[in-house]
Amino acid sequence: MYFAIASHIFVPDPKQSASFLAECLAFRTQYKDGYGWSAENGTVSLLIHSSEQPQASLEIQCNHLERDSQALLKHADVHAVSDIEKHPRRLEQRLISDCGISLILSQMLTEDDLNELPDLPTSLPWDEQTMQHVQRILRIVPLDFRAKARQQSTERAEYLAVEQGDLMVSETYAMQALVDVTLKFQHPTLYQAMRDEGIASEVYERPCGN
Amino acid sequence: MWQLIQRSYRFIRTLWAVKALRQADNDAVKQQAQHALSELLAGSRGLPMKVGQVLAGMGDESEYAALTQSVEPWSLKKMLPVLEKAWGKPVSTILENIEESQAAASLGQVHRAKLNAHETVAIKIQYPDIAKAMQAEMRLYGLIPAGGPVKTWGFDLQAYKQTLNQNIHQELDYLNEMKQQMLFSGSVHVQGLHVPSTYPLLCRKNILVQSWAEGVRLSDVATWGLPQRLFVARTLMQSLFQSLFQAGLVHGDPHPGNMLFRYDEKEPQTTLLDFGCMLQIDEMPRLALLNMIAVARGERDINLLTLFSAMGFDEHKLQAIEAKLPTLIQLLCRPFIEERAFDIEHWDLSASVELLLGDDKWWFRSSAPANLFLVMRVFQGLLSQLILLKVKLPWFPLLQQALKTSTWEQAKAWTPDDIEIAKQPEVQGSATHLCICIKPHGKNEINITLTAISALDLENLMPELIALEMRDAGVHLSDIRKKLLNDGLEPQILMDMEMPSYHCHIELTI
Ligand SMILES: Nc1ncnc2c1ncn2[C@@H]1O[C@H](COP(=O)(O)OP(=O)(O)O)[C@@H](O)[C@H]1O
Repeated sequence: MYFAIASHIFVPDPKQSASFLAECLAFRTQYKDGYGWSAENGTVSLLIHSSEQPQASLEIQCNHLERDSQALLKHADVHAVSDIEKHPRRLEQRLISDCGISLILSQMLTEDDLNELPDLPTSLPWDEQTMQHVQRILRIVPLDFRAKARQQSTERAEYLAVEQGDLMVSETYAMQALVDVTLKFQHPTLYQAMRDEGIASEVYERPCGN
Repeated sequence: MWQLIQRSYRFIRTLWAVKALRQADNDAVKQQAQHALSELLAGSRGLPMKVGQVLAGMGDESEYAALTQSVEPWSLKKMLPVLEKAWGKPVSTILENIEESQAAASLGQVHRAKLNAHETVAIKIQYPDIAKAMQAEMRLYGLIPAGGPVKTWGFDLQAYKQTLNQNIHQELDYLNEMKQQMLFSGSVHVQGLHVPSTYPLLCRKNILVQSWAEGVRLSDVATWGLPQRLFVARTLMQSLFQSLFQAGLVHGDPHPGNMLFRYDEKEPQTTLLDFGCMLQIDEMPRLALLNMIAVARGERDINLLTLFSAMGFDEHKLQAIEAKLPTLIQLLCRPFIEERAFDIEHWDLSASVELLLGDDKWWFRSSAPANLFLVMRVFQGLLSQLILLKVKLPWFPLLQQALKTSTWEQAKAWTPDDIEIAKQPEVQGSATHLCICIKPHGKNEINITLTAISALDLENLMPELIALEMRDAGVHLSDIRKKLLNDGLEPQILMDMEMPSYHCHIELTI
């Protein structure tokens, strides 16, 4: 089922708000007789109504809250209501525009921000220390690719273990798996990360072009 | 031919059990019959079985569940004379003691006992007269072979009766079970697997003596730690792989009641029981199956029609769905293809096969040899065991290790004979579907829709009992086939008739 959904916001001066949305947040706006002002940006449609008590808050989900906040605050009619606040799993800052729309900037904290080491999606028991090595080594993988890398290296390590007649994953299988699933140009980084963990990487190193 | 016999045999067995259940006037016999029936119906699939369930009056799951509950064993006092008669001497000359039975089996029951030589053994004693009762039932059905070959509706009824008898006799013969058990234990060697040793000198046709196995049930294993559950899972998987692909001797009834497990932190032990129902898989289908996995993994390239034909499929029928076979084997072999711990719980094989084949699935089924479906059932059993154990393992490496190098080499060297496949007679017609509606009197009807071309195979699709009634009523399914081959598959009512036990309506539609 698919519906086009619009939400309603209430501001003192719809026309002024429409131009704020267009200038600051790159909405496309239009005015229709009998319908009033509306704004949309491809993912959200807003119907803008006139009201003395403004009821309009938009949450802006940022990847870089600080940078985005600075950019928005460059506009003369945007003001900070709060500093950047740190909640358990996200950052948040409140801004307000002169036209009555309040903006909540938010940013989810990543495993790196939180200094967390997510569990590996294992099916077999793992040697505890090996598991931690792998969790830390995986940090060399850019965040966007890390969940995938975590899954692939876990699956590969377990496959290697079972292939060798084991039902438990030890360092050998885990490191071998990391080498297997890591792109060749990143191997030097990987070997360095292994050494940082105190693992003799030369055991697992592959000759170039192999 | 052989496939048909096998399938018919199972169907008749079901009917026998249903009938015994209905006619039972004595509670003990009734309980045995119920038990046998529930075992026969457990996990059964396909049209004949569905009919069997309806006949048994088991419209819904709850009625069926009631039947599968276990049966009270008979008292030792009743069973001891059977033992003495079989051994031809007082029990005390052989046994130090024997306990009341805690476990009723299907045709007999099992007692724990201690030999005078001190070993603890399990003695399975067949219920007195159960063999005679079965003979009587079969005579009632006219299933004891009479003189002279009788050929009716496309297959040799005489051979059919003979095979039927052989099968039943085999199952009643514990000496045969003993042999199978020894054969299995000699040819399947998997880490953690244990098969109780038998005592041939004490075994008789109605008595099976084997070492007593201690252990808990699979449901208890489910509460063990992950390493132990994984170990048990690996034992179960490799036992099936090795017995199927290498020994060609598969435990045909691997339900949890036939397994016992003993805890050990490093090497938990799995004991397999009950070798009374073994599936024999010949070398050709066995190697073909193994090669199907190789083809699905992209490691070999073999014409799929010849490969399926080597597995015992009817290749003429498969021609109709040849284009779908490559995808089909990908679906069937998926656990062996994925290079990671395979997640069975999220593997919906039947839904994906349904999506691929649609109504053709009946066509595919009818082209398959019966024993392959029994093998599928065995795999189905393995899957539910693994789900119960809550474990995920990669399958292919376990398969690799389970088989000897020589078996792999044999499989690699194997090629299906170049089978010249004659084209199926071209039959034109605008009908697309075959609708079968069977309504047993006083019961809910069974509706099945198949692709139109299945009408050419009505002889094989009909449950034998219904076909028998049709024959008695003068309808020959082979005549329908002849007519359709002449006139084409046009929409029409092929049959609408009242028989002693059913109303049957068969129609070709658009
Ligand atoms: N060797 C054995 N040791 C311990 N118990 C056994 C042994 N063999 C059989 N049993 C018990 O008897 C039950 C029935 O035996 P089984 O061989 O499966 O008979 P059937 O095939 O006739 O049903 C089993 O489920 C098990 O509880």
